Amino acid sequence: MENKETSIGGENQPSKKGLKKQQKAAEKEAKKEARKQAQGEQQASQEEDVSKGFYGNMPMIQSTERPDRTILDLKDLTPSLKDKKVWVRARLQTSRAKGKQCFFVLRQQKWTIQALVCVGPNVSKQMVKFSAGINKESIIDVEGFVRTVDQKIEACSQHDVELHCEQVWVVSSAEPRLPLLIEDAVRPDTDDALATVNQDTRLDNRILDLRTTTNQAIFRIEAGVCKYFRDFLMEKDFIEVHVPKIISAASEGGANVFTVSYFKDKAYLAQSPQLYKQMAMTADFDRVFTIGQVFRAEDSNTHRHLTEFVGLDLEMAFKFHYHEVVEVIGDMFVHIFKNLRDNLQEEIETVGRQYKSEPFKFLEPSLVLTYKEGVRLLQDNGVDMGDEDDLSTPSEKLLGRLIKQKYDTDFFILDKFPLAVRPFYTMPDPTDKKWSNSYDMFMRGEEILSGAQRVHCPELLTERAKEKGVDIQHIKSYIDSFRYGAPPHAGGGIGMERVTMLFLGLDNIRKTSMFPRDPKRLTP
Amino acid sequence: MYKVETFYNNDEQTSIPDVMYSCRNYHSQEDEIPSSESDPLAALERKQNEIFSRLQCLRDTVKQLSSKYTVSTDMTSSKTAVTSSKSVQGTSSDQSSVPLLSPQKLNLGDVIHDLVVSADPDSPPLSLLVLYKVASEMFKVFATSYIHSSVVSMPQNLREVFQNGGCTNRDGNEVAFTLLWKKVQNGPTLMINPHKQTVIEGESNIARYIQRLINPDFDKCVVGATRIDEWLNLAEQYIRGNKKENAAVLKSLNSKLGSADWLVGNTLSLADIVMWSVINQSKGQKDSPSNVKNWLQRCERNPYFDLANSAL
Repeated sequence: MENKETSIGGENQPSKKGLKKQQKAAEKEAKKEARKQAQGEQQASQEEDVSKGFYGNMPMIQSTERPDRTILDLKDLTPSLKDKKVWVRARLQTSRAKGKQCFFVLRQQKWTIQALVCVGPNVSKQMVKFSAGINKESIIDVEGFVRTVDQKIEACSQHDVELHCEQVWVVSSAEPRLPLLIEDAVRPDTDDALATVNQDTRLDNRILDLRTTTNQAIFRIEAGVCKYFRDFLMEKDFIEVHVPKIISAASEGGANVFTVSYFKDKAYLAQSPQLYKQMAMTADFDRVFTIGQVFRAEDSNTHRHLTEFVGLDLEMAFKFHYHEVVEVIGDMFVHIFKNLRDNLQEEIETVGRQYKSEPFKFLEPSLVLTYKEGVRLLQDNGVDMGDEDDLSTPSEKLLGRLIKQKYDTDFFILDKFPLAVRPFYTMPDPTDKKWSNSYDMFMRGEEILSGAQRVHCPELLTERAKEKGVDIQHIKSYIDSFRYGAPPHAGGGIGMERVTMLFLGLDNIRKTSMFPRDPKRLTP
Repeated sequence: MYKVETFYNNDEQTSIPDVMYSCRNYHSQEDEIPSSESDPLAALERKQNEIFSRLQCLRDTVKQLSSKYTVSTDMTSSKTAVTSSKSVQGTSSDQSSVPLLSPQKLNLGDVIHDLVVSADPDSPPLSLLVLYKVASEMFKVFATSYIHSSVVSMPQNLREVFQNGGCTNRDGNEVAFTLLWKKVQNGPTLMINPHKQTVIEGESNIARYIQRLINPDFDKCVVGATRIDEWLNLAEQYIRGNKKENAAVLKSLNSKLGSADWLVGNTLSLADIVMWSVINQSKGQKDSPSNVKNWLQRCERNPYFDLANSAL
């Protein structure tokens, strides 16, 4: 295209467009100058990094040295340590940079504290920039002064102190993109506006999900259940035993067992330690309990079934009446509930913040009702069932609600079930053959324990097995174990995850199992 | 052109009814007795027998229906009552006193009748303990107590007042008193059948229920029942009253007890039991006037009060 303007007139004066071009060039020059100056400043400040050597990525800790440095826990940072310089190691939960300052939240299990890096005589801009850029969930070492604050920091557990950082080192960095955010994982589900994490994502990324304060609390409560179970029984002269889980014959009904290849043969994974608990009875151990995995190959995808779970089982020989055992089991539950209520109240409240539920109520000693009374209560409320029918799951839930309304307890025991619905090794009632010496225990309307007085006579056992249509050949070794003198005994087993789930009022058993196994999940 | 058959017949007679409704004759629809029966007396007798047999049929069907729906047919068994020898308290001709127990026992069905009373251990319902003793004379009562998880500590004597829980045989008993020690406001509550009722609150109301359980004819003596009700209402007021009001109540008690040994009638009644319980709960027995003090001791000497005394 012809440059009409410049060819017209051939004057020396530049035309309009030319003027504009010149202006633009001038502006560009000015900008370049400004940028150069800024860079110059930056370079200048880089050279003046006051905090060099006080921040950065720590070289991988390969146990090269043991510096004389005490690293405190976050829970110890209280106003009593005011103005002291401390070292802490925690996870970076969130960070927020604002010009010359960077606020970040450090988290250690369930304790959190707010930390601050701001430009000052010992802290440079580069350090603030570095702190703001650390990836979330990285493990960092921080040295700083503990300062008290005037306004309480509600969002953190250590709400009356703040950490003013002098040194920030990254011990182990996390990847920049996380599959789920911890703050989302702790949010209760009712908050519609903000994001929450659904169960499948949680279980796929279990290690991140387990870092939340709620999950830390849940598993501490589960540990409490085990501890108080053990403590109570050991005080009552029970011995802890461990029984094999690889067995040769399916213990209760062949349908729900996992098979494993055992060298050239096949073996099964134990459905319950029933068989071996009873053998321990005949071996004169008198009172035993065992804590171990139980494997059930049931293809049920419900909120309360897992294929592998931890069973807390006990068996006890008694003198005259199986109620001696029922009372021990009832007292054991009261002991567990009382101790959880008294010692782990903080954890229970933490769980309650994310998963709201009614607090667990119980009676001391435990409430025992007969099956007949329970059925009558249901019949009066319109449930159509016969006096000797088994309780269906909805009936059990309704019974739980009725008993809660009448006696105000979430835990109760039903005694004397009909014989027809119990397995063949249950001892029948002495006066009426329709009933059996068996009992079930319920928490919040869901069954957690099924137990009974066991048949300890080989002749009666054979007869009962025949009546129930069980093949005698399969259970020959079981019957033989009673041929050398067996004491009358009774017992029962509970699922640890189910008890924790029902105590806290959670809706799914996968929340109380660290790495749950169900028909659709084998990893992590 | 066309010939059409007549489609209605004019000649037919239509019968115009002269009666609005006609009913069957109720009386004697059977065949008339053959008049070969000469004796009119025999005929009368046969008629009478027929009526009797029909009456008997009717009575049988009513009995069947009553047993099916478990309705107590008092008509058949009213006069021949089952008496327990010690049960009738003070057969007085004075219409205003109402016995605690009645000669007749209520039919409670075949499953144990469980009364669940929730009470605060700080103010135990002593009247319940007395009524337990009274009720055990009539029914087989199974009494037990449980400590609810809302209560952290409890005095020892209250813990043992009823056998504390345990799963001994409930089956042989007719009535169960289940006492739950729990933190309740507004006094003890009673719950029997959760879907038929809400909780019944107040010690007097619980006493009213148990009284009618052990004496179903309580309301038949209207004057006495009303007098007792008056004292029961006063008892409820006493629990909530301040010192001045309670002092006034004690004064009126004093004046009443000046002229009689017991509050209503001339024997122990529900009014005495509940007033005694309420006064002992508020620890008012120390500064009560002399008649009241004597009456309190008179109550405590009664064997029914043994269990309640141990809970003081």
